[in-house]
Amino acid sequence: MNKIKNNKLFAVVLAISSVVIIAGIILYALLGFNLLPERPEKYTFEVHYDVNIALGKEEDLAKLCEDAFKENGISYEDKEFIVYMDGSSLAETTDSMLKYTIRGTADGDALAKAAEAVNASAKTQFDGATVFASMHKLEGTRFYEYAWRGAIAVAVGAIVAYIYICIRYGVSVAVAGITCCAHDALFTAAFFAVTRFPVYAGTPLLFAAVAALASIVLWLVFANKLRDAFKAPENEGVPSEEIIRRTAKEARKPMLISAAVMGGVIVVLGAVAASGASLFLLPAIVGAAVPLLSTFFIGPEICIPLRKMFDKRREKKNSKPGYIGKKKKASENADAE
Amino acid sequence: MGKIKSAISLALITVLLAGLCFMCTAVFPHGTENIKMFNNFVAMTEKDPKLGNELPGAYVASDGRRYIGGGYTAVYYPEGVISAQEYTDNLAGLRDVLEHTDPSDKSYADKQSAVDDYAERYTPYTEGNSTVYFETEKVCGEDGEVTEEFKTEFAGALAQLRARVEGLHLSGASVSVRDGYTVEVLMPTYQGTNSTIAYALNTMAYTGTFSMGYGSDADSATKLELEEGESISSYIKSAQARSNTNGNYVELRFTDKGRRLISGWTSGAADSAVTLFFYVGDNAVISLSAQEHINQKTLYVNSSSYDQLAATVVAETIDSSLNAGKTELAFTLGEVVREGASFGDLALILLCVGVGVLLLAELVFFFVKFRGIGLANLYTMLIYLSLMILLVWAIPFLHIGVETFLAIALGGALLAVCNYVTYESAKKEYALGKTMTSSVKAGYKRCFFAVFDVHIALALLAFIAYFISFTELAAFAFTFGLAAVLSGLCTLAVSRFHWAAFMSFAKDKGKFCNFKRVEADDE
Repeated sequence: MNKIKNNKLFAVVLAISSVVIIAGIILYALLGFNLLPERPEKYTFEVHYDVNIALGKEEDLAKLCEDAFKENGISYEDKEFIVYMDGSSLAETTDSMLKYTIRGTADGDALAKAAEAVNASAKTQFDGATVFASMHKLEGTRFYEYAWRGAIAVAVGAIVAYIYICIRYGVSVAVAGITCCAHDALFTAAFFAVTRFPVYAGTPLLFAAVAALASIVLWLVFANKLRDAFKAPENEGVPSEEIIRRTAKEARKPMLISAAVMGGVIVVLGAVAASGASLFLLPAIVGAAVPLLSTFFIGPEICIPLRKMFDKRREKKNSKPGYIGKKKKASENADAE
Repeated sequence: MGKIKSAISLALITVLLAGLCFMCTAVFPHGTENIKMFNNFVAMTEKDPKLGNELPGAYVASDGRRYIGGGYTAVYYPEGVISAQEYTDNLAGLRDVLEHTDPSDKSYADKQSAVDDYAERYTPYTEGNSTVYFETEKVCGEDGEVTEEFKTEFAGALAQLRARVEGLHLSGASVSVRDGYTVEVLMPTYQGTNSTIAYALNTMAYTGTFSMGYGSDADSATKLELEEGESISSYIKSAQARSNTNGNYVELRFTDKGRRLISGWTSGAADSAVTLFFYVGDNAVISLSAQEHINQKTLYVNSSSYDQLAATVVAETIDSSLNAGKTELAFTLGEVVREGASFGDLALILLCVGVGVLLLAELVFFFVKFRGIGLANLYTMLIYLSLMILLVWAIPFLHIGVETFLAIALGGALLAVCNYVTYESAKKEYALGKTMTSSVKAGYKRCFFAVFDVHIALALLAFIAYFISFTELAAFAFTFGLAAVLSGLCTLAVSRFHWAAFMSFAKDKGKFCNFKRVEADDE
């Protein structure tokens, strides 16, 4: 009964994962990630002014701008008073700028009208001062090298880690583990492409790396339990399929606790951090949670046929008449000599 | 472990820990009239400029500046494009001169034509709501639209600039197209590099192809004349920034043809010094005085003004111009402003609070669950955190950022989980009726390889990912690699030692550790 349930869940999880990953790849190719936090496209409304305004009239200037915004139906996201720097020394100059950031569906024409209105009113309101308002459209460009190098880094790192796991735990555990790891990294990146969750450029790869790390941790929890189970004298003669299934079930609690600890760390850091950093941190929880899916349902199911295959091969070798293993044979030969 | 040995060890460790914690957290003014500031390791560590730190007591560098995060935004104007403000100011200036001239004056007509000429010389970019003005002759065709030739030139120059900024591998650096035909670059600030950032912002504006020459000054130098069908790549392969303990260098790698050329230019350098010039467009980015014959394929150029960023900027400027298509469109550095930290002004302190909350929660859990061993866990965790802070401070390419916080916190979580696993393992052994010493020994033995394998696998993944990736991912990977190694050492050695030391004072060791024996059923 349990076997049937596990197999069914394996098929369901595999189907869901495949759909999410394929959809993620297509959406990434078409639209990329939603990089709204980096404001790849935004408008700024900049008002340049001199020391005459800087000495006590900055708020009047801001009011003038905000009145012009109201008249033209513009809402801004951020407002900053900034001092200009000398380009050769980066020393402060006497000129300043009032900068408004407008994100989303801003109307360039309305902003241009607001700039005209501010320029016209400033001439009479701030006589003798230099004030010049203008709107600007910004379109971000992407750094692609970071993305592909990051993807290769996670992939190569995971492969080397699993080579170590292969030496320590055997091929079947390592192959199933690296499948889970690849699934988790891809699923996490695809999740952000599909859900259009706003992320910083490069962070989906960081989240994929978190998923790869979490995947290795959770899979090792299972692998350690499995190693103990195979060594346990009470399991002698028990089919490997049964041992793997039983271990997978037993390992769920410690795996859940490990994932919860990782998730807890991310949630606390993300919840306490400032809004910008929260957006950098909180989505990483996806990377900590996704490996539960693969290590619960996918990994053990892949491990079973592989283990059976290796068991069969071993049995075949052992059944050969006179076969006693390479090491033993070598030592016997040495003794004989 | 005996009581006296334990007492001495714990006293020494406590003093060491107190010292480490003090060095990692304390900030206070001192000296005559408090003009000096004692800065802790956290304050002195390089920080990601995305994290703001507006609280008093922030790091004060030798030049008196406080760390507040953020960066500098610079606008680059390509040749033939000016801002609406510049156009308006210049025209207003000419009109002002005209207004103050008597119409009967001889020069009035000239001044009038100067105003008309200036107004005619420029065309507003109407698609961009007249935010920039084009010099009609250079940018626009007969129909008044931007020519395809200018569009291609601009795209090439933009690609060159983007390649340079990307090549700096600075977390937070960005390049945006502003108003269609100008470029905005955000350069994050790092401690003490204001002059370097100014140098970087100016140098990155150099566009055009790479060339070389020799002579007494950059303007009159004899430049390399390329033969027909020949490109500069026949002479020079690449430029890269290098660092070692003696300083920062730009490494220029020549082809054999390039080596022979430089060898010819410097053949008489032993008698009279020759200066080699390396240009990007018309600007000399390197002036190298050769006082001896140079006959080698690789040249290491060092300057006292090169810090790591400056050397990288020079190398990337040269490298991107080697790989760039033929673009001669020059950029002029325009407005430069200081931007605030994008993650908020209090981001750094809030992240520290986050780590504090996690640490407190972890300590409370261990004290409740294991009573006395909570002390061993507390000491282990403090050693882990102090050493991580020290390492991030001491390793030059690491800085405090969200990714490093995440890596340290995840490493801490790994340490906590492994400590829990080993304590639980010993608890199970104790429940079977073993003595405390043999329970601890058996507990650690039972889970040694599990803990060891987890740490090795994670450290392998992290360090390999670090060597391949850049910026945030690289910082996260390396910090996590260090955290994994430290966590492994702390779990398997430090925590066990602390446990033994603290337990030696307990009369009832089982009660001290909150371990219980399993009651055997009495039939």
